[in-house]
Formats: sequence, C-alpha cells, structure tokens
Amino acid sequence: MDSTQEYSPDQEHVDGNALAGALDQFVADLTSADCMCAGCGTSGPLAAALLYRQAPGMVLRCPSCTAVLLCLTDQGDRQILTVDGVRRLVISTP
Amino acid sequence: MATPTSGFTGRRQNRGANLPPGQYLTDSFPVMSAGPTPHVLLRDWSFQIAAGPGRTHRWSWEELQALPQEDVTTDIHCVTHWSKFGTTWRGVTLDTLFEDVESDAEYTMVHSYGGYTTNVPLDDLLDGKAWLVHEFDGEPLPSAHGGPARLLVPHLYFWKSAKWVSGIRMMDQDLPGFWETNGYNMYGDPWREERYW
Repeated sequence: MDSTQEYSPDQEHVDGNALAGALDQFVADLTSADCMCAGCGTSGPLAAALLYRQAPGMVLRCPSCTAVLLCLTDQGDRQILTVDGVRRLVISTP
Repeated sequence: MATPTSGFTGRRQNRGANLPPGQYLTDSFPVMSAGPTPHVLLRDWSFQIAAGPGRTHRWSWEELQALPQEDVTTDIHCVTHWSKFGTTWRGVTLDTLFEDVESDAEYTMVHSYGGYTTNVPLDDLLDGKAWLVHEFDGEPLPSAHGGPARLLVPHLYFWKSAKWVSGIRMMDQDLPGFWETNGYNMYGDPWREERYW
C-alpha cells in the first residue's frame, strides 16, 4: 500500500491467529529447512550454515558469504530470534 | 566455636568490591566471537570518525602510531558473566581522536571490519573513558582479541569494546547495534547489571 494512502479496514483479511496451525511445521525442527540468504541469495539447509556460539547469543551465518542469517538470544525467561538475513525458508512436507 | 574459613576459592571467587553483580572472576581471557575473524593487513587498515557529510576524519596505521600513546590497566566485564581484573593495554585515547571533530551529535555507532556494530553515547567515549588499543599485555593485539585494533570502553560491558574496529559514525539519536538489536541493553552498565532490554 502506498504510504500516502489512508488505511481503511477491509474484508479480505483475518487476524494472525489463523496462521497458528499453518506455522506449526516450521516450529518442529527448522534445521532441515532450506534457507535462502537475503545477502547473497545462496540457498541450502540451515544445518549446513555456520553457527557461532562463543558469544552472547547464537549467530548463524551463510556458508557462502558469511552474512548473519539469524541470531538467537537466550535470556532465561525470554528467547529472542531475529531473522534479518533470511529471505526464504522452505520446509518439505510429506 | 568453629572458626570461619575463607570458603571455597577458585574460578568463581568473589573479590568483593571490584566485581560487579552477577559476575565471576577468571584469570583466562575467553575468546568471544559472533563470526569469522577478519584479517586486516596494516597497510590496508584505517580508522575513521564520520561526523557528517564532508566531515570524515581518517587515520592510517602509521598515523595512529604517531599519536600520543597511553598505557591502560583496567578491569573488564563480559555480559556472559566473566570478569578479568588488571588487564593491560596500550593505545590512543578517544579524546585525542575526537580533538578536531566538530559535531552536535550525542550518540555514536561503532563499526568493525566484518560488519559488527555497537552503539555508545559520545559522553562515554570521552574524558579518559575509552581508547583505541593495539597492544595487550605488552604484545601486539592478537586478531582473536580484536587486532590490529579494538575499542576499549571498560566501564561498560565488553561487547561495547568492539573488536576489529574500523570507525565511528556520529548519530543524533541512539540507535541499536548488533547485540542491542538482539536483546542486549542499549547502554550496558555492569554495575547496574544492564544486560538486557
């Protein structure tokens, strides 16, 4: 939507709750997902990416260009995931 | 009546007043790294302060070495709970580097070779509180610990002391760097245990 346009409620959408079931399969185990790097466009399984964990969080990097794919921070009572470097995730379903 | 003993000693001993809350003391120097170690040749190395359009100050390695050097002995505190007392460094105080920098900006973003960033208020880089260091323990700073040169801001958690530092960009507002985006505190005072948001 053009930012100059005024937003008006429509009938085409429902709220995000309806996504819950569809996202379940992404939660189970993401390491087998095929991941496209937003930096260089290379695709491959997350399991083949480079994980750095001698750090305040776990940092997963693209094996091709070493850009950060995602970062997972464990604060005990809160887990924070940022996925700035992921353009696309593909899960193969039976 | 039993005589009190000094209790357990070792890695987690508490040396009292010098140890911030939630920290343990270590004699080692753990290597923390969120990515591959950049290897920058000294002839290619430079450090710059970007104060605005057309107001970039840049130093080569030789120019950095020609500036007045200071020896610094300080305690350091990592947000992953280890602290190390009495570390010794050599480098240039940020006061020297900012001497001719004119800017009204109150915040900075520190940039590193390899893409790391961290935000630090300008006041925390001045008045003898921060250095650009290139020696540790009397030797050239190893690349694993941020060589050729790293920032040293020891009054804040050590993620603010960016390894492989390449420059500082002045900012009018306080924006988050890498770890600050990923859940860590915008300021990071170890004495107030400012680890997270």
